[in-house]
This record gives sequence, C-alpha cells and structure tokens, in this order.
Amino acid sequence: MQMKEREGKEILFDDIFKGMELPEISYTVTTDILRQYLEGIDDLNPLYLDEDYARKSPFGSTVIPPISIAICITVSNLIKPLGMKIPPGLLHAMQRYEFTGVARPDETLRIRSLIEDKFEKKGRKFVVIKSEVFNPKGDRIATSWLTPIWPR
Amino acid sequence: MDWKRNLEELSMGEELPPLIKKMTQEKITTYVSAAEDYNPIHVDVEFAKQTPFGGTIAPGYQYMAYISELMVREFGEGWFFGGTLDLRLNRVVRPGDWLVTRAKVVEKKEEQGKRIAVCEVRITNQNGEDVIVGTATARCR
Repeated sequence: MQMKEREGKEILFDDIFKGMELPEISYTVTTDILRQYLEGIDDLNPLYLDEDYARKSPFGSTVIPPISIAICITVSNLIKPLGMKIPPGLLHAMQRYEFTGVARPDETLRIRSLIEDKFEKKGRKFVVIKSEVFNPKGDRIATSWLTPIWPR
Repeated sequence: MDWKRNLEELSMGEELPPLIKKMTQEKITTYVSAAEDYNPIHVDVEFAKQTPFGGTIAPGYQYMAYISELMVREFGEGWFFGGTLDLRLNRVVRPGDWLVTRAKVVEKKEEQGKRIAVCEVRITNQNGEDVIVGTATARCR
C-alpha cells in the first residue's frame, strides 16, 4: 500500500486549547468505502448493502452502520484542514458515541468539531474532541467524544 | 431480525450471545484503506518494529465496531436511534489475536418515557485480557 504524504507542521499539545473550533469537514461513506469497511470489520449484516433486505426493514433502504462514522471522525481527518499533522504515536484512550439517526450510503455528512477539554494525568496528555455529525437533511445523527493521548 | 427489543424479554445479568473474530493484518490493511487513516503503526511493519509495541497494531476503531455489530444484532432500531457507547481501550490488538466481544445486561430503566437497556460491554483477547471495556445502552420497546 502507498503511504500518504504527511504534510504540514506538527500540532503539539501546547498548540491546542479548550474551546478551539476545528474546521467543519464533510465526508461521504460511498458504497465502495462501505464495502471495504465492512470487510475490514467482518460484518455481514445485509442491512448495509442488500437493498431488497433493507427495504423490508424499518429503515426503508440501506443505511450505514452507526459506528462507521468513526471512519471520518479520526483525529487526523479533523486536524488535516488546519494544514497540520498529528505527531506519530497518537493513541486512543476513551471514546463516547451517541446515535440519534441514520445515514445512507453515498450521503455526504457534515462534521462539526471542537476541543472540549485537554488535561494531563500520570504524565500523559489527553485531549477531548467533540464532534457532531449531520446528514443531508440536517438531522444530527451522531455525536462523538474522542479522547486521544497526544504524543507530545 | 427483531427491529426493536422488548425490555421485558431481557433478564438482569443476561449474557447476550458473543461475537468471536480473529484479527489479521489483511483486515487491518483493508480497514485502514477504507478509513484512509494511514498511521504507520497499523500498516508499516518496519516502522512498527521500532516502536514500544514491537509490531503493527489494529486501529481501535476497527475492533470497537464489533461491539456496535453485536448491539445492532440484539437491539436493531433501538441502537440506531438512542444508542450510546462509552469505551475505554485498555490493550492493543495485534494481527493473530482472537477477540471475544460480550455484552451483559446490567440495568433496565425507564427515563422520560424511554425504555433503556444498559449493558456492560467488553472485548477480551485469547489470553482473557480486557482489550476494551465499557457501557452501551439501547432503546427498547
């Protein structure tokens, strides 16, 4: 696999502040990405790709798995629009998700994020990033809180 | 598939049927490619060897999805509309690890007219070590 060029200056823990808004991003979970994602997590539920099956469900047509929003809400995706990169070695400590609606394959989602908190504990640097995800109708379909351990 | 679970059908302490999966480098690479999140710790074997992990590790998001899969299977619509997930990642997952995903009903409650099942969720590896622990809730009828 081709490694992507990592561009820009590193964003360090000291560059981040509580209340800092990150640029809104949009993301489309295309059918191709969804297929690859489901293969990567080994999920064979027909609700996601089988239209005939999904039509008979309460959703009326295929949907994306609620947790698949995690593909777009990664720290690097959220930081990228700042023209910066995260230092290597970032780890995930805690996550919270609330699911409040559905999105369909090939719909473009909008994601608004901000730094809700940052703190140090036992010598580790934690950052809390809150993201709200909206479908094309403007419904908030999910909210996430990522708590990565910032490398430096 | 039952699209919304009846809270009465669930017993306190009930263990929902687990999911068992094996992590492989191929699955990691496929996942990373879908997510376009090319952290070298997941895919670059030579880089990963130089880190304290000594080899590649799977993205947390990847196996976290196993819990969501289990909750979709058990709670259907009640997971999509009103589900919550709180997780702590305790341990890394490496290619070759066998992972068991479990959910246990620990509380049944009604809040503002909503009927909610609370589950303790966890993923353990082949050594019985906790990889992820947390809480998931889903709406019921």
